[in-house]
Amino acid sequence: MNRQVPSNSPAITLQGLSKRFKDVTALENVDLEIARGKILGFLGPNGAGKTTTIRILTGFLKPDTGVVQLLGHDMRDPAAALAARRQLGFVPEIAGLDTSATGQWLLDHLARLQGQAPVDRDLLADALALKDRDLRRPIGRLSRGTRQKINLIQGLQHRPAVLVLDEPGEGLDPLAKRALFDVLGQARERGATVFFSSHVLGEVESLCDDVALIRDGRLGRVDELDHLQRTMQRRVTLELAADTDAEAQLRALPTVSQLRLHEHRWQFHIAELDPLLKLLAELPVHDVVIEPPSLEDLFMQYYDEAATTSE
Amino acid sequence: MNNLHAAWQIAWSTLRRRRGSLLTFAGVAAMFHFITAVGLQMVGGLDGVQSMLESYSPNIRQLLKISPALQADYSLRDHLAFTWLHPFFIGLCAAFVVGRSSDALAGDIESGAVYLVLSRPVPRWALVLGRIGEVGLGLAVILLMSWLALSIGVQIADLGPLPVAPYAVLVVTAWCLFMALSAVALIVSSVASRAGVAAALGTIWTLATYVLDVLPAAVNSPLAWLNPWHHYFPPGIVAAESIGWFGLMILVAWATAATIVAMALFGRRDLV
Repeated sequence: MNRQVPSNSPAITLQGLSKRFKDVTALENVDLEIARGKILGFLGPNGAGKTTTIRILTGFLKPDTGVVQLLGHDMRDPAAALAARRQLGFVPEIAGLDTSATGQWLLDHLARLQGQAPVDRDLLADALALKDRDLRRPIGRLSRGTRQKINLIQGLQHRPAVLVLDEPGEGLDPLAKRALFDVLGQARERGATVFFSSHVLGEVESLCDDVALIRDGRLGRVDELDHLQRTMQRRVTLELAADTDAEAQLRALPTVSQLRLHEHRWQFHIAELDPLLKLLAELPVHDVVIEPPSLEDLFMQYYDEAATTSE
Repeated sequence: MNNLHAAWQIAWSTLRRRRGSLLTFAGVAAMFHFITAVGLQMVGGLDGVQSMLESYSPNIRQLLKISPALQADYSLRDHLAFTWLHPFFIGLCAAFVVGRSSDALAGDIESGAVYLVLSRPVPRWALVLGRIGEVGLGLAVILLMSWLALSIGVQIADLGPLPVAPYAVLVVTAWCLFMALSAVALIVSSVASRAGVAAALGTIWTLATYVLDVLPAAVNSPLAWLNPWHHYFPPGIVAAESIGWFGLMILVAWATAATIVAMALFGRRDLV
């Protein structure tokens, strides 16, 4: 059977994906497409459906309905899934390591099963500051951070075209985390696609092209991070000259919300900047701070909207 | 990588990594056989063993598969062959195969190691085949070391040469028996997500089939031949000095069919 797939197919395609475990709906009608060479951060609180999505994407779980493709290969078809896995690097949660094995044994064993030389192993070990002696000790005797470094190396050592990482920053110290992001950035530069889940918003913010937010098994929003930040509300702190009553004017601004006066400063959120800037030009402004939305703001805003909609 | 090569890779790598516990099992089994041979005179020779057997209650003798005929005409050949049916030895082998089979799939799911292997271009059936292959290789090491230790013990105790052909048949039959038990334990392991649960159910299966093989109603049943233990009676195998093809075929059929079922079940399940 011809397993050739078009080289311009998206790296990852999920269409109408649903999965139930007995009475619990883990995923409901999830649609997601990731172009080749992009980094997508998959965000959601614990239990939102991130790991279930990843396990379906990698072929460990079968969806009840929907299409799952990795580099154009249908992951529900075992033979096609094997072809896709030749180009896949997967980093599961930290618990996935056999504690009685040494890191060296595990990496060699997995490289042989991958059928590809571990061309980037030394580079990754250097970048993540993983010592040779740690690779020769049983994984059960290593610290959590060191285990996670080995976990990362096994997924990246063969220079895969698609990287799927489940909470890759877990257990890493800030330096190792920075090194990981550099490595993922380099992977993108050579054309790899990276899909990683996280509940740490700062990780996604510093690295991703796109973000997808998931909650209760439903994909809420998929967007470019820049676009998301542009369209979401900024936080404004405004100090006016004494005795200036601008409340009515501020309240009349389109898209303004959460307006309040705190210690002689107006604080509010706003999405459209033009009307605000025109108003500020007319007011006796002492000080103004306009902060771009953090991902945390985006996250909370999305969930507030979702909660309001469901009510 | 060729899929069969991947299965071999999994079997060999796992065997090497767990060689410490394998050599412990093999060493204990070998020591048991060695001591059985060299210690015979210390317990009063065959007369001493025979009077010890007479002190057992009939129920215990039945459970140990010591028939009145065997007891009445207990020879050196019977004694040496009986060590392969001794509760310590069969318990050791059963513990090895059931433990390894339970740990093979359910244990891998429990630890999460399965996600590392199966995110590679390795089909699930190759993982099952690799794991049962590892059990088979390990079991072969235990049985061959037992045979070697018994031969050395017999030489040292000056009990005469151990005949090669009957013991080769015995080792092959023992290997097939424990592989049959292992493959059924692997079925349990292929649908369970916890090694402890798989080990408990595998142990129940092993004990239940053994007990069924000593209950007169079950032994005399027309379906008794289906029980793997029914085809493993070391004193009889050594005395026959030939291969019991029917029994061997039944054991091989059990091992093969159970492995195929385990592959099919593991291939279809969700790995949660």
